[in-house]
Amino acid sequence: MNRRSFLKSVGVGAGAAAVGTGINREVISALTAPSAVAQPVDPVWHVLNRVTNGPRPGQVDAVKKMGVQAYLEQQLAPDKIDDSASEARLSEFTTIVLTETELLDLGLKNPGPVVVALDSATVSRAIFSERQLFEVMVNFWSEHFSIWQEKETDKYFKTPDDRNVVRKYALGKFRDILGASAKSPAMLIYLDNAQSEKAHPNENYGREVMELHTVTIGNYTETDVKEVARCFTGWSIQTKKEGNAGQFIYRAKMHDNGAKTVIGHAIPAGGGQQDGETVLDILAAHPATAEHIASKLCRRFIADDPPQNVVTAAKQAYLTSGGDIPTILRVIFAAPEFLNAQPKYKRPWEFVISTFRALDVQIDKLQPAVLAVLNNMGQLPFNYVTPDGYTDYAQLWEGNLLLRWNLALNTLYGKTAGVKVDLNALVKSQNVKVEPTAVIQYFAQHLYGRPMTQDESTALLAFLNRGGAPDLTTDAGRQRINDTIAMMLSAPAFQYR
Amino acid sequence: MARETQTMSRREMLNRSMALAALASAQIAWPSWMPRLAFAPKNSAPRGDVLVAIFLRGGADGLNIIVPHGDTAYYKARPLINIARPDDNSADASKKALDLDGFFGLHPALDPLLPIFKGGQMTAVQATGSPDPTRSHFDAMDYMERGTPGNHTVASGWLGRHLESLDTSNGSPLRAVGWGSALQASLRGAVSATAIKSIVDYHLAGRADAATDMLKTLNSLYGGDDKSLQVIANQTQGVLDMVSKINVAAYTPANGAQYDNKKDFDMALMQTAALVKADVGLEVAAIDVGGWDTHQNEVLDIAKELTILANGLANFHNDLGDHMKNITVVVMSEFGRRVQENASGGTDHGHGNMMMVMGGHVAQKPVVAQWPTLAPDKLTQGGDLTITTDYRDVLSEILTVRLNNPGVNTVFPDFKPTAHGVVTK
Repeated sequence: MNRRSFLKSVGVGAGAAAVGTGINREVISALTAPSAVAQPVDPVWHVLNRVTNGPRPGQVDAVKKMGVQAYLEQQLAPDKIDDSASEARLSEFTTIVLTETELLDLGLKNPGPVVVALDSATVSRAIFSERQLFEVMVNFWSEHFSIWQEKETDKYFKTPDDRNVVRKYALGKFRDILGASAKSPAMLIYLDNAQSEKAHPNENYGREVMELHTVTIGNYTETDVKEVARCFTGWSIQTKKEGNAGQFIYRAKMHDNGAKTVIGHAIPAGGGQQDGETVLDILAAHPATAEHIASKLCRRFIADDPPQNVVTAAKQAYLTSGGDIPTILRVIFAAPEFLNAQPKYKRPWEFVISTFRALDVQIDKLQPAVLAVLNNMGQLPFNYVTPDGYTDYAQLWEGNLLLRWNLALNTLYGKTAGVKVDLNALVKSQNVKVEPTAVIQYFAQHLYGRPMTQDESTALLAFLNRGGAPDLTTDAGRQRINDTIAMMLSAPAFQYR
Repeated sequence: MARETQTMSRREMLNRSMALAALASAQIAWPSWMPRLAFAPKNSAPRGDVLVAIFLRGGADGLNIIVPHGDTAYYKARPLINIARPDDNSADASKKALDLDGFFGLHPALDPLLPIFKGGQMTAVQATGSPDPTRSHFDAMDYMERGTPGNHTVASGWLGRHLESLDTSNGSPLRAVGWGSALQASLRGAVSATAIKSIVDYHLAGRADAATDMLKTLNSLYGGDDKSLQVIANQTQGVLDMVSKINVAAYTPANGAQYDNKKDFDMALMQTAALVKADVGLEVAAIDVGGWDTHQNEVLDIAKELTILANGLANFHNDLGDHMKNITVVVMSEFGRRVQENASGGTDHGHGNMMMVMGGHVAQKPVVAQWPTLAPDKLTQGGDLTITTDYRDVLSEILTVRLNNPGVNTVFPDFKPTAHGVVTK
């Protein structure tokens, strides 16, 4: 029996959503209790695979020691987690702390290094940050308020957008991140609002802020699109003459100051800059936005088609908390459907980062080669052209496994530039006996959250022991272990989280 | 052969891959959530043309691509961003439409395609598109690629259903390729469709002497008690096997065609050409081209994109030479753009659009259109080009006439296509 069918059998009958804070203890004990079903996945491993970018060696035990509930609460308050070691790795990416104006003032001929610095810092934090849930949410909002950083000056402006919008409010309130995004120079360039003025408003942002960021299609009309676009006329960015080049400015002369109606709400004439804020208030408070955000979060943490009862509970949490993101997450994490969620196929980003974390990779200097891998697999951060962002429907990522197999092989062979794996040190740090079968068994528990199935064991041991058991004192023997672990990372069980 | 690709015998290759395909279909229990189809083909027919489906993502402005220079309303609506009449002596030559039939003309950046239009191997359809009124990129693309306007619930795409509903006795794992890192939605549902970015890079990493054992191990792991990804793993191995037999790295385009190896579009076309000439069983290739959402600064941006499109297609046509008689290329986009230009020197989302069809058997006239005109009272939803030809009419005709599929009712359910003579037998 595999993990999927096991979880299915446990999941059925888990019952109605337990709304409230805290992990449902009954479900945990049901999962850990001796069972007629073989190969249960470790429930803490399961939780870590959902709320982090994948467990590092020893992390499951550490979380067991502190308790899952305490771990989740710790993760929901990232500011209190010491992350200095991860932050210290970012010192070489000097441009990630600069403002729009400072970046433009660099007067670069080629903005490439600014793009690479942000992407590399993003990868580095995803692997090494102790604030793992925060990093998962940074990824979530980067995709929700997706910006293609190759567009014009967004090669520069996505850098402050990452800092001032996404990272600032990733675990804040939805209205705040929505508001920051609306004023973010990167978004103003990406969806053309910087150019919008009363004579002919540009509708690009007006449409996408409703369709993608808030209420979704079906909850507004084409007239609403035009009216919202009118409300945002004049929201733009400063020229050099105006002072702080590249930063937000409201130009009253460009604004359409007439009366508007947005989704049935009258906005009287003369509102000026406040018109845009009023639109954002209307949109953020709309129940359809609560439903949209709730279902996207449930899709991220539970399943492609999440159970409606949990979505409804998360939506209620949104509405009663004023869109407080940690409050919504607590409701999702407390649901039995979260704890019993069936395996979800890893997207390329999740596969690559979880591989690096599982192998406890050492990276002295992050090389663009890692970015090239993500690009080839189709999920380089901030590189999705259209504003709908990379999809979280895992099923849509299924196909062509070769790049995954090759990432595993190349990483273990030290051929992913800049990424080093020290299996010997890893195995020793986990007190695993330096003996081929013990190493493979450790990795099964580490990578799959359970012992090998009979079929896995047959295939992997046949591969490991072909032509005799490997002698770990020789290069050839160690190579065999290397290859076998690459096969374990390439196997179906590691393609899911 | 030296200038083309080195291949093993086609029979040898197909035997091998058919064995793999048979293995896959015999052993797989299909999870219900898998979008890949599992029904037996309703029809069988010999292989027809290779279809290359090109999607211009972002809503290409068809009115500035196949320019209705004979419609005065076009110039009224677009004082700044119009393409001048071919006979407009006040306009710079580089800004004038290239006349096709006295009423429509090509954007000047499409100059490399003019000889192909004039030579009867290319035609455009105007005032075409998907009837659903959505102005959302994502809805419109989704409907168009599923082939089911107004319906998001059909899991497969129109090309996927075409491939799965027609048995062409072709067991090749390279029957369909989606160029890029993710499979196009139009190809969803096809067992034999793979997303590939670069054939040259398509080989297993690690030590060469362990490769055979590794592939065997992967085969066992994916065929063990978790079979959820077995179809995909088999397809990956089938492609690996076939690709190892052809040497695309040594491919030299014919007739002096020069693809730009820095452009994804050119590389997709070149690899398509290489697979066509290697005769590895390719039936469908899907290619995406981005950059068409011209809300602002359209004059420069669309010229840049059209230059890439035109150069790529002209090179492909040139490279394939006589092979073109068995190829149909179709170019489409999710919707056209508003007739009236906006204040940013661009256009917002609209409705009706153009399509282009290139191949050895296309209509012997450069533009097929029932032109509704751009007169204000003829526009739809207050300002957009009205659709007079459903895009499914065009695709149905190509599938029926050129790809031998008698069952387009499976491809486009609940739709009765009308033929417009876009392609010929």
